[in-house]
Amino acid sequence: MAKIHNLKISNFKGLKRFEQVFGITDFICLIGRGDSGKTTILEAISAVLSPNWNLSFYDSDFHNGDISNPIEIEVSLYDLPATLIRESKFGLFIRGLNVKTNKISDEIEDDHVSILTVKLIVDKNLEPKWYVINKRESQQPIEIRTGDRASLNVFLISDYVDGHFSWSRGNPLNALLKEEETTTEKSNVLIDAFREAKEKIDSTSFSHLDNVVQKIKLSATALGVDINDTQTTIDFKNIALKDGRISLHDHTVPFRLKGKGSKRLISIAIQLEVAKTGGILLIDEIEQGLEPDRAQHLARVLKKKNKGQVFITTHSRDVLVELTAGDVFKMKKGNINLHSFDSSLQGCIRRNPEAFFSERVLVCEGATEVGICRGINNFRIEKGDPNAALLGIRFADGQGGSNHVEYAKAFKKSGYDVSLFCDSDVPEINKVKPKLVELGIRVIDCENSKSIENHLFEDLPWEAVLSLVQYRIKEKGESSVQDSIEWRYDGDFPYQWRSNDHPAIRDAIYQASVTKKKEWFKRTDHGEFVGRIICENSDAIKEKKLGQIFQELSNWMENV
Amino acid sequence: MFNHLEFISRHKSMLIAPAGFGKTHTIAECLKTFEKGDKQLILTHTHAGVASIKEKIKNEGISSSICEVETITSFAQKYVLAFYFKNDIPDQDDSKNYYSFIIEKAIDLFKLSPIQQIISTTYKGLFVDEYQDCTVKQHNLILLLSELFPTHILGDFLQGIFDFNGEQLVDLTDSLMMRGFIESKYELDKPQRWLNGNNAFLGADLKSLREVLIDQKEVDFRKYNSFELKLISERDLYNPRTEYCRQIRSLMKEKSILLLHPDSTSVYPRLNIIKMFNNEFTLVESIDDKEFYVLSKECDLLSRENVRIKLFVFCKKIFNKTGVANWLNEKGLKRKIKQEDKELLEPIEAIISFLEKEYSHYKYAQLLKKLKTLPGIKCYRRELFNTLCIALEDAENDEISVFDSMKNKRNQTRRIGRKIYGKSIGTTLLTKGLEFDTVAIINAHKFNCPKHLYVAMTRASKRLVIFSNKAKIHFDSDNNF
Repeated sequence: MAKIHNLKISNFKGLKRFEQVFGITDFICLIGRGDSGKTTILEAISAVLSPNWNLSFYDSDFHNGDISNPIEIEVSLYDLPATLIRESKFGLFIRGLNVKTNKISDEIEDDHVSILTVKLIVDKNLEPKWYVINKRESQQPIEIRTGDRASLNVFLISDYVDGHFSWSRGNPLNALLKEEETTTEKSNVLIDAFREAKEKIDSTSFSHLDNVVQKIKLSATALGVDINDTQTTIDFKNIALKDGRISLHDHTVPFRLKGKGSKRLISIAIQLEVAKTGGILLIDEIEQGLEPDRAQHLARVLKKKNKGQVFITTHSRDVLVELTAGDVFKMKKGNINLHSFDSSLQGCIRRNPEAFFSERVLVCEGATEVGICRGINNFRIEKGDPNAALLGIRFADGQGGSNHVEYAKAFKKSGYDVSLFCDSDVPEINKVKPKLVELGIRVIDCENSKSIENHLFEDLPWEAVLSLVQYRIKEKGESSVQDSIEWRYDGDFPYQWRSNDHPAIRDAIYQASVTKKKEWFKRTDHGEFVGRIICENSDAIKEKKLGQIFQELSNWMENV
Repeated sequence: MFNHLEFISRHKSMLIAPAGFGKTHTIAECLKTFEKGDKQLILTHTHAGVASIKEKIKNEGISSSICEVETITSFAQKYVLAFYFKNDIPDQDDSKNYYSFIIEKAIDLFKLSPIQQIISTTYKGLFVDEYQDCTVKQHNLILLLSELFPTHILGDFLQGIFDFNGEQLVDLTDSLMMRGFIESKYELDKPQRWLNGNNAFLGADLKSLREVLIDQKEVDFRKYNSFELKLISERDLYNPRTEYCRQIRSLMKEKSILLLHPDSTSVYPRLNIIKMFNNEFTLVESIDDKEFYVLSKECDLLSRENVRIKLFVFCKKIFNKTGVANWLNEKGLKRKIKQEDKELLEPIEAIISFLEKEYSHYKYAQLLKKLKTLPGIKCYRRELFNTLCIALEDAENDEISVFDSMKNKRNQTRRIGRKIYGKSIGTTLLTKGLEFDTVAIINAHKFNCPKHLYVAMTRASKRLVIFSNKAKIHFDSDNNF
């Protein structure tokens, strides 16, 4: 039971100060470059709601190892288990959440959702203390004990999942067992099973040991001690009757010896059952050890089937495409909160999941522009210049229309460094460009009313224009391309047009290249070729608009 | 026959139970039928009531986890202190405003669904005892709670004597006000208290007296053989040589006896009786008697500089004046000539000198205790004295003011309830819900309200002595119920 509404962390591992409102949501996916603190966030949640009474802390858990400032982790929960809001537990400590504003208030109102705020404090003595707190002056923090925290059913799946296959207290299997048990039946099923096992062992004869035993019996009788009823069996002194010793096996092989991916999946399966009762499931790097399709399937199942709350971190595009924009939160190293994503990025997340993992996004109007950028990037790689991946840049495809404008705005809002690469042939879009610039988006576009194709055929040297034509011919055949150009030429089409660099011919080629449904470059791979041509001719077009566009793209990539 | 299973099967029901007819017993029987998880909330008005319900539950072997027993005020106070946000809660010693404020704010809080959720997950049912003592405001609070779970109220309109600062009380006979409850009304008809080895005749007499009072007819004490009527003259109470006093002295042989005084407005007539009878009766104190708070506030003003000169005035407030005047004066301790007196004062003087060097509440409490042992010094308000000493000691330990410490003490008593033993003197208001083997009513003719008289008489389980200057009493008709 219980779900997290917001989280505050100070001085914990890599996080000096962190504060995030997740709101009313059942699925949260944290993304961000490596080492940005995603795992620390999950660990913090796991610690503040830990069912263990003796959670260990070390000096190294303090931010920068500085033990003079205490570790403080504070989490506000809603959908609280009934047992916790009883008057005798923490009922008198609830706070109120205004769902409309997402603000928590200590003055309760009728339409508020009940909230309990739990705080973990670890000072230099390294002894963790858990409290329920609020800001009402009349109330002091009150300690929350192991058993009460355990009722929140919070589990973290990280690299160490072996423990999840045993039945000990505080483990998910045990939490499930508790769900099954009726309130009146409190006997310990596990211990009983263990005792039965001992009885079985007791009844087996250790016959091959009998000879030795017999000798001792005789010798003892000689000394006057009667030990005739002696038999050999297990001494339970060294086998603690603990549920932790009982764990899941595949036939006789303990689950802990299974492969990493399978172990995680089985562990998650157990947790999912727990989550059905409304627990909080934390999964670090959900795709770890799994094939892309299995990771994707897992994400889908978690999102659809869970009745509790799930927090995952991921670096996988396959996982991301399964989610909605509202599920995703981005962590950036050194930030004090996460960036959330606007629902306007919904389409983008499916088409450009990679962009979400980068730090800088170059939003391209369509496939042609994406292709050109890739072409430029390929050229950079060949030259040995820093490439896009190294620079933390991703190209996002706006898929035409006005999507690219929305994407650019949404990425900007989510804290990315954004540039928009687009045509200028749609007046409505041209009108909003100044606003984008105002938002801090670098707009790289064509001359007024022109498209990138306009510039290609106006600005490139004739040789380069011809190689673009040749590229099309290779694709569609000589006669089809020539017919198309000729058809758009006003007047008698000169037979020797290839040796005749004339604006009218350039225009005819341009017209042919943008014919509806027969566009020459409206595919990423075609765009890549265009990009290559631009790069190869970059010196020749320096003074032209196309050259300027190329320069601007390169500058932005290099963060100049 | 009353069937308690039927009574609790109704979502709302009420039980009219005359004093001593087994109301507390009925609550215990009802509690026995609930499952372990179905915690019941039991509310009443007085600390005495809380104590007697708790004792009954314990004696019946019912698990204390099945229910929570509290006064309405302390239940409301718990929520107001937890959730009320502003700083305008009146001081607790301003009882006139404090209690109605607490109930009003609790009503506001109980209307909020997050708070209703807490209450309804904690409790599965509600019993309210002594319902006749509810103010209209408290009644409204109970109505709010009754929307959350089955609610059963118990009471007797003939015992409706509580008067919360003149606030209007609920009328159990008003069908509009009691709507929802009055439709499922039950009654107890056996005077249980007097049947089980006690005075069965007294029970029968009280039952028939009840009808006379309800019908507003003249009461003639002589008609009831089980009442010990002593016709006396009121003035004789202040003359130790009279029959009146001789009779009271003979009653002092009883182990459990309660003297009931008709005057509940002032504590002095009762203190005078305590003095008259050699400090043998213990005063039943009101939880919110001002004196508790007044004295604690005075202690908070004590310091190194003034502890000696203030001692005389302070002592006169808790000890008998003549005793104090024998040992103290405005300057502090008197100079004594006799060697034995000097020896008695020596350790006391040592404490005072200590306090003049370094004042501490703890030492001051020691000083008071020491003074109390001096020959001739008497303390007529033992509960007041003892509580003050504890409050002083706790104030020192907890590093809070004596006033706050006293508030804690009184709230603790309020919460836990108290039981009164031995020889006591009180009023109907202070002893309601309690029972004593022997009850003696002083100046019974001075009762001007039939409800008070009924409550007074029904406190007795074995022996009822009535001191009155006339055998017949007729109450004015404006004392209707």
